[in-house]
Amino acid sequence: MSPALLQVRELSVIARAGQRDITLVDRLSFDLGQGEILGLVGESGSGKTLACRGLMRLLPSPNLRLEGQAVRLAGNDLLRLDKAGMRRMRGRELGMIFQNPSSHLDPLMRIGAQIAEGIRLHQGASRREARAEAIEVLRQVGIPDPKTRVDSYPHEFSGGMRQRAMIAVALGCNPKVLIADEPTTALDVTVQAQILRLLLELRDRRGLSMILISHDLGVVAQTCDSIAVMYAGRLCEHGAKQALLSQPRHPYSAGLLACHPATRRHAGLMNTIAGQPPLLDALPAGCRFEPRCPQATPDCRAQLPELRVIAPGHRLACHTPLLAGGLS
Amino acid sequence: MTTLLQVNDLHVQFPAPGGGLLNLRPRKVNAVNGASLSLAAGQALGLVGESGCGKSTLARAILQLTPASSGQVLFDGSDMRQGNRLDIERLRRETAMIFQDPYSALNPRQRIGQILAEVLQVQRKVPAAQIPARVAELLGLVGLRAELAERKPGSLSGGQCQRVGIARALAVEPRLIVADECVAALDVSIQGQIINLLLELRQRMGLALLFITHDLGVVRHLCDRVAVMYLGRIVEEGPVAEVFDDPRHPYTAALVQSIADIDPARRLPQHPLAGEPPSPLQPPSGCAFHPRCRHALPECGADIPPSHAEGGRYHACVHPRLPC
Amino acid sequence: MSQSPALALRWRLAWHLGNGRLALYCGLAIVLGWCLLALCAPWIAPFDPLAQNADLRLAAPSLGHPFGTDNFGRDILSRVIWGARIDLQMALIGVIFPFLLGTCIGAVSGYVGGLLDNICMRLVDIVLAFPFLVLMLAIMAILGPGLGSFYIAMALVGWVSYARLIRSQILVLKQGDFALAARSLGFSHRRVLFGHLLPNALFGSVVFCMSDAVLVLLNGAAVSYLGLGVQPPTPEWGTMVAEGQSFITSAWWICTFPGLAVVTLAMGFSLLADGVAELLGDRT
Repeated sequence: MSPALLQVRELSVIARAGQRDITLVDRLSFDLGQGEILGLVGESGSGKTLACRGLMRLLPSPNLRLEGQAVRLAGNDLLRLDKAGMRRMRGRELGMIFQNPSSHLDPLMRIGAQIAEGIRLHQGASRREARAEAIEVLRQVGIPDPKTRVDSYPHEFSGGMRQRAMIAVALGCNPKVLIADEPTTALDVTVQAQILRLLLELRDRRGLSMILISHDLGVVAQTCDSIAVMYAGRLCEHGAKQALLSQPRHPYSAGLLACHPATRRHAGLMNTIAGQPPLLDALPAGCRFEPRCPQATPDCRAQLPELRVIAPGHRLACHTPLLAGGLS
Repeated sequence: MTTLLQVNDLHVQFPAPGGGLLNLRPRKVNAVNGASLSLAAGQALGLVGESGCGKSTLARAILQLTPASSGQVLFDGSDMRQGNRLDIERLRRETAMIFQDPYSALNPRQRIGQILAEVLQVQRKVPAAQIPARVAELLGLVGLRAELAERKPGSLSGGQCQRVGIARALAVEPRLIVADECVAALDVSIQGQIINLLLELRQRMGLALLFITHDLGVVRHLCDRVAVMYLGRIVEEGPVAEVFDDPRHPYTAALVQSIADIDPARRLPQHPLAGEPPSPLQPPSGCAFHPRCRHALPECGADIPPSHAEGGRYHACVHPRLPC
Repeated sequence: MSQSPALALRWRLAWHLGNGRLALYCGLAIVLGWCLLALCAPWIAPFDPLAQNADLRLAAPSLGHPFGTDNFGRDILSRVIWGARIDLQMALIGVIFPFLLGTCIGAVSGYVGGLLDNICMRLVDIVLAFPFLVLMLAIMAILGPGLGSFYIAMALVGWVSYARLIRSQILVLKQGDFALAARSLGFSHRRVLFGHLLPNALFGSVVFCMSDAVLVLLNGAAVSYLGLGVQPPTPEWGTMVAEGQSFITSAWWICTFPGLAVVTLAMGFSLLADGVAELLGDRT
């Protein structure tokens, strides 16, 4: 793999609550290569969305702040850029699409105009060029009859078409990295497959790198090259898809895999992970998964395991990893 | 096995917007369009379909919470649509519902104990003196500590709230539970816990279950039979294993194919089902699925397809078997 | 990011304990302070509020009469303290009746819907078509001046805002899952509406009550100022301002101190409304 396009080093998102700080994302580090799709998996509250909002430096509340060593993209350190510099990075280098397209598209603006706005801003194109480009992007995201659809309003589109339109808005700025936050969760299952297919095609055609945030390992398994599993604000395992899915080393990754409803073909009790995720303002001192972990030892309770490389391209934060031979 | 619930040709209509300035030409949406199904005592039926296909409306119409415009709902032999007060009261005593959003289904101002006690009190299930004991028993049944009775829903997690919702349903001592997307809002690791709880309760109490979901993976674990709904109609019904292994309706086949398996070797289907579910405001003529169907014949757009029933299975498609 | 509500609640609580409760405590202190003054008026007020003193007409504020005296030589400080009794009573009763009436009508109208809802809402439109004060004055002119007719007029005119507020809340809530759950459990309509929906719908109106108290207070003062409310010589802030009006250039203190009293109490209610809104907001 070529040197990483995006390098994230020790990125933390910290919330100020009264007199004390609550760490919502704890020292997240990863690399994203050219044309790579990274699946960021975790349950609600695991910090996966917040981490990506942090990458864009678009945190949802003034009570939140960003800390970290570096976020390097295209020769810039995003954490050191001034506000104007960061604005230039958003859209042009880093695009983002969201779960709910209806609330992220401007309902009073034609689809074409929303796409063209970004093209004109970032590429300095003329009005006519931008419109032609918008039609081209709409064609690329699989909107039928883009020449007429470019003048439609979002409410004239169906759910899946709106998601395509939002992808088109992000693509209009020609970003290098696309962050997709649960892009298929609000869609019907048959439409979900279409959108995932589209994301794969865009990667192949444009060499786009992507971070795909999802709570569904099934979605990630079908699309991603590598998978990062987050739990309670920390990365617990990160590796190539093949390795992580066939031989998960972290008990939480293994648990998530085992309790996915599609995992077992037959009726009967489902596998579960006992208990529930910890509250982020009352975290255990040691490993955050320790209270729910079947493998936990006293060590796990005492000491927070750090992320370390266990094999080329495979990192793990666990004191008692599962054996490489697979699930026992 | 005796039939507990029998639905025959049920239609539910809603007034639709856009009937002209003075609503002179009132438009109707057929949310449920001639649905029929049956459920035996103690059986679990999964009702699957995409959003907007009318599965929740069907469930509400069955429980007489939404008025149906025509058709029959036979619960334990008597037709609920006759509107007999005694029948409706019996329906309320013997059925219960579990909802999708565990928080919004509970009154945020009531304590958990009050929520359960009120049901016991209104339905006169146990003498007043025994209500606290029964509340504790119900909480135990769904795996919650009795202390939680003092808490309010806002201070519980989603999974805990869903357990309270199940306890409230059990307080009725129902013969039929209707669960509407009851795990869709929960995290994967919690989903399994709730499914297992439902499985356990079913076995222990002989409950019949109508389980509404868009997730076929869950149906495979929990249900005996599955009914697939598309735009207000049931297009296929049968035992879970048979329907999943050998789908007869092209829509079922597409749904089964789109189950997001965790198999790193499995790629996305090269040609996923095209198009999107049509709007019930402008349903396609004939078979509602024909504009998206790979196997559609010219007659599919003209007539509502015939239904085939054989050996406990039912499907509505011109093809008696799917062409390969 | 979606967090567990429990966590979100804790965050908010922590934040409020830091600074947000200030409004609540200040508002409570001001309103309670006035209540205390009103209750203890016989012991606190230095003079009889009605006693006239021809020698001390229009005396400027001094040590003996800190707020000065009016054109009849009555002590303004004593009149302001005694006036608190009437004004607080006006604010309280002037809010409660519209609140009760409007809540009942709005709740039933929203829950039942259909024809009844249409009738109620047209009634609201009719009342709203008239300027608030004009309608009140018309009703009071028919009933005759006095506090009693003020309360009746307030109830007849003021219920509309509460009815609208509650109705819109009920319309939203009755679509919600827990209303459906209650019905599916065989609860009666009365239980669903008054036991489950209404307690959840009240939040907005309770907050509105507090701000409405300010309006009622100002209305009462205005009505008294126009000679239709409290009759002289009863000490009431609005009446006092009205009486002092002709001396505004020569004896500023006659208007100013009752006016300040109205302003502080109104501010107290406003702060209380903010505080209660935040407090109740946390509970839901």
